[in-house]
Amino acid sequence: MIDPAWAWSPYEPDKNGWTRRQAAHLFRRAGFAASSDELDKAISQKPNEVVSSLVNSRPETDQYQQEISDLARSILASSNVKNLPAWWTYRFLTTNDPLREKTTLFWHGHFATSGDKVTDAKLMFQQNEMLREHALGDFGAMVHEISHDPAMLIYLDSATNRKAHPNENFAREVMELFCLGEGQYTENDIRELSRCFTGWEIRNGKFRFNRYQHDSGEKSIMGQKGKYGGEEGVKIVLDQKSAPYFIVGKLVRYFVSDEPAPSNALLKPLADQFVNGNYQIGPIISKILSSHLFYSEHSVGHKVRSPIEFAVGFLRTLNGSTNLNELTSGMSELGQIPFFPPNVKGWDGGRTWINSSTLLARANLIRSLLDRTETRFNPGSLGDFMDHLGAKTPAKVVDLWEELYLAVDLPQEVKSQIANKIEAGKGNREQKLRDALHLFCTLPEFQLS
Amino acid sequence: MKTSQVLLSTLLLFGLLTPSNAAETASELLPPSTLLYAEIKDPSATVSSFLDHPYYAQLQELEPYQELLKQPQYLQGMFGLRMIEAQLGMTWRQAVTALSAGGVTVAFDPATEGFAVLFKGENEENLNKVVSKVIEFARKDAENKGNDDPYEINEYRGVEVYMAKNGGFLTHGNWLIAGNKSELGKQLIDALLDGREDSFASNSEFQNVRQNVDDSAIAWAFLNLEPLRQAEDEKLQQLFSGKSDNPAAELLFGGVLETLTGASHVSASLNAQGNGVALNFQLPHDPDSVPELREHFFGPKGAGQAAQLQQIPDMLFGLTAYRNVSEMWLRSGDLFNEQVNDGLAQADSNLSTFFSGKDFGEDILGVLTPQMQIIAARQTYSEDQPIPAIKIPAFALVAEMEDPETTTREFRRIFHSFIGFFNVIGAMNGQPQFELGFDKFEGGDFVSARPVPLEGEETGSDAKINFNFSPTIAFSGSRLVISSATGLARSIATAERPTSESSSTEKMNTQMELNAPQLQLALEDNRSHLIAQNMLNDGHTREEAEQQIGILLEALKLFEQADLSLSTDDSSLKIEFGIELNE
Repeated sequence: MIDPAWAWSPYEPDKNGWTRRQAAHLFRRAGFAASSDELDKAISQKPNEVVSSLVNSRPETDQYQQEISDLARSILASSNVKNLPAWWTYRFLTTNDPLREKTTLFWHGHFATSGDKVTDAKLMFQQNEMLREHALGDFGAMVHEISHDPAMLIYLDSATNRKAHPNENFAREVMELFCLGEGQYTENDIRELSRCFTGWEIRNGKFRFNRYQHDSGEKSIMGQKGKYGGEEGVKIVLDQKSAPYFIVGKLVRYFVSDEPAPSNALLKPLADQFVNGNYQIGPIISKILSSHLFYSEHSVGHKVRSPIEFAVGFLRTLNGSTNLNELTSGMSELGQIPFFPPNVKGWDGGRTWINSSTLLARANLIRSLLDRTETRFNPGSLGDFMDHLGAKTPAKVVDLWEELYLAVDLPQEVKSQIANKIEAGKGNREQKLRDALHLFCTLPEFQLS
Repeated sequence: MKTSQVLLSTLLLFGLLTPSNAAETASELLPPSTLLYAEIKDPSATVSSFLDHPYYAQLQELEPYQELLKQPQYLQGMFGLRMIEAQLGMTWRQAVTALSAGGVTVAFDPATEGFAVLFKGENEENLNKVVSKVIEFARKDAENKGNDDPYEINEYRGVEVYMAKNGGFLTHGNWLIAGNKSELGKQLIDALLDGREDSFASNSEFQNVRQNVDDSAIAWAFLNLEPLRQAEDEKLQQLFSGKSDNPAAELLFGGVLETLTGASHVSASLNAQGNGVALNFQLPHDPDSVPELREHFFGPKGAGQAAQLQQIPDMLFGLTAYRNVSEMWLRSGDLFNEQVNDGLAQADSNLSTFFSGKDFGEDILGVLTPQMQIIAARQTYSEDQPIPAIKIPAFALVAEMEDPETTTREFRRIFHSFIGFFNVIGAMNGQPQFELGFDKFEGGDFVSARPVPLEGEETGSDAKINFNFSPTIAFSGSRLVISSATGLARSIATAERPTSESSSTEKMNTQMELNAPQLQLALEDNRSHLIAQNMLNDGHTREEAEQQIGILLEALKLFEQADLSLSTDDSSLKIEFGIELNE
């Protein structure tokens, strides 16, 4: 049983101080891993200052925003939703606002909507932008916006909702998946809430309220009665006591550890703060990332890297770049491709990321990335970058990779094996380094975050 | 007799007589079983003509080229080159002349499985000077790196052969010969020392090709097809079977495949004249022996001839060809395998439904003459219309109708049905609807379909890709134009038709033109998309992508036109690919 008071109290570094290894843990969870330079910058600040900067600043320059916007414009011009994952992966790789992207990815899995069904790239992109805008902001506002979101309503077959036949899909997901979780509502609540959403339609990719199809009669939801519309129905759901526990519980599992599921007692301080803070997401994430629990043995190395964390983290750590269309296609083999969650529940995550098939696919993806001529580091050869970072001997290279990439220590004999691969492998130094890095990325320790 | 033999042997022994000088060309040294013979006539002259050409100076002035000169890799490479030049005591261009003033030949002999490269140097002294310096340089380099001597010296009939990892080389007289198989090497040394009566030079087809090589040719090649035809290689057997089993490949290359089934050899030459470079291929071809099966490609008795390519202002791409597509469609049972025929039968059924119950092969394709043209042009957009974010050139099919009076009405009606069909499908998928329009011009009329923008989206520069298309069908006498855009249809239908040139012997089967300045403009229209794709596909930063696309677009400005033609005469089939540089 974890003491909530200890768990959420601000983390204070021990006698060893605030290390690159701990900063790497923070960036793996709050983003998609950090480069050596980012770690140096992080340890020059206090842990809470780094977290505060991650949560509160919007460091992307206008020039970068323009670059991202130009890329998106090009993708949308093709009208092909299958091109969107490469765009977002570019952003994962290059943004200096990683927490916002990581949290946007969280909300994408939470409000799961798939391009497979929506097919309209512009609608998927608009939803993505909306999630990013609210990612660290007001949860209530986000739920209200998602309720009008064309991509979401199309995905849940709710583009038409007539009073004669209320569509229960969206109402069910608002309760079960978006706000409350299973067992916190009755089938009657769903039926009544679905009546609130009648007349909500999507026409030509835009939300429209058809007043003639709205059921303006009295509804009874969660013990409250009134002639509620959709917005009021959403508010009633958000006001339920289980709502803050459901949301902060998912955030804790995402940022701290998938298992074991956090108890209500552990979540209570966060849930109270969430309600008292008007459902602001940023302060909750800030508290999680600054906590003792986050840097404790209950968290470090206690998550399995998702395919996106695995692939993007691999490159981002070593300032890597590659063919992003091929990369995203490889990520789909691993079981996760942004904009294409498998179902309304999003990705299951946790241990489900790993099985014999995806483990092999992980090894193959790294191999193919390392074999591609487009894959560069900083941008150049891996050998030159290792030299640049001062890792000039095989042992130093392995130490550096361990520090940058791993949440848990490697046994010395494994480190020696990898160093030997660099020393006595086949081909020139670059080939040896790439082969050794491939071996390193297939280690069980590498799969943990 | 015996006295003279003894004298000859004595002279040879003391190296006083060098029979190698008797071999003027590499073909005289090579065995008759040679499969491939490729010769660069004078590499140093070729290099000089490139480096001294005004275009090279223009290329050097380009900003990306200037940037390249500042790259550390380039500077390192230039330093290495200067070092080698200092070692040789001559510039690298002088070294190329010393090694290959008499030409360079690459050959492959399947009997020995040997490749050979034969350099005929400027003279023995200069050749040996360069070669010995290179050997010395390689040995020093190996020594400095702590490696073994890279060469082992073997001797065959008094000739020293430097053996390296994957082959060896030797010099004799003004010849430098490198190869990968000792058997072929021995034959070449024997030929150098003794001469050979049964050399590849005596091959009559080779002689014939050699005699017809143009003086302007920089390089030329001869490939004996018979051994390849006999080879037990599945891919080669497929190539020489004459079957493509692919309708698109049949349409494009069916005739070439037919010619390959019986041709004894293929020759090629690379010519440079004025501002252009042309690569020509030639195969023996007998028009009278074209089988019925390939009449759709060559016409009856090989007499089919493409129409003169219609020229329009600012044309991007043009293709004119003789192809009886109707005949090909109807003969598909003999041309393709079962699987392809099943697919075509399915397509035939669907297309017949699509074309209001008409038989696609007979009633649609069959009412057009075999002279087909495809024309493409860059589009311009009006600011009071939606401008698509990705700008696609317009393209059109130009054909002649056998019976314009009947066919015009049929095609007009089918076009109406098509637009109606697209509108229904488009409405289901939220795509813009097409609005039909009718217009007349001198000598003809057309029916067009314009995409209607949604309310509030009447202008703007990020419109959907659909706004590249305004499908149009135009009729002008016997001419039928089916175009993706109204502007192009109008341009073609109202253009002056070229007068056909008749030639008694040469028949133009296919001709293709690509206008480089228009291509450059079409790509420039989409510069931001090319940059975005480069970033995503090559993992480049924006700066790198901008630089790479900038180089591409700047480099294109150096070109005027690229063209490809396929023609036949009484004895040969010729394929010519040409590139013309900008004046």
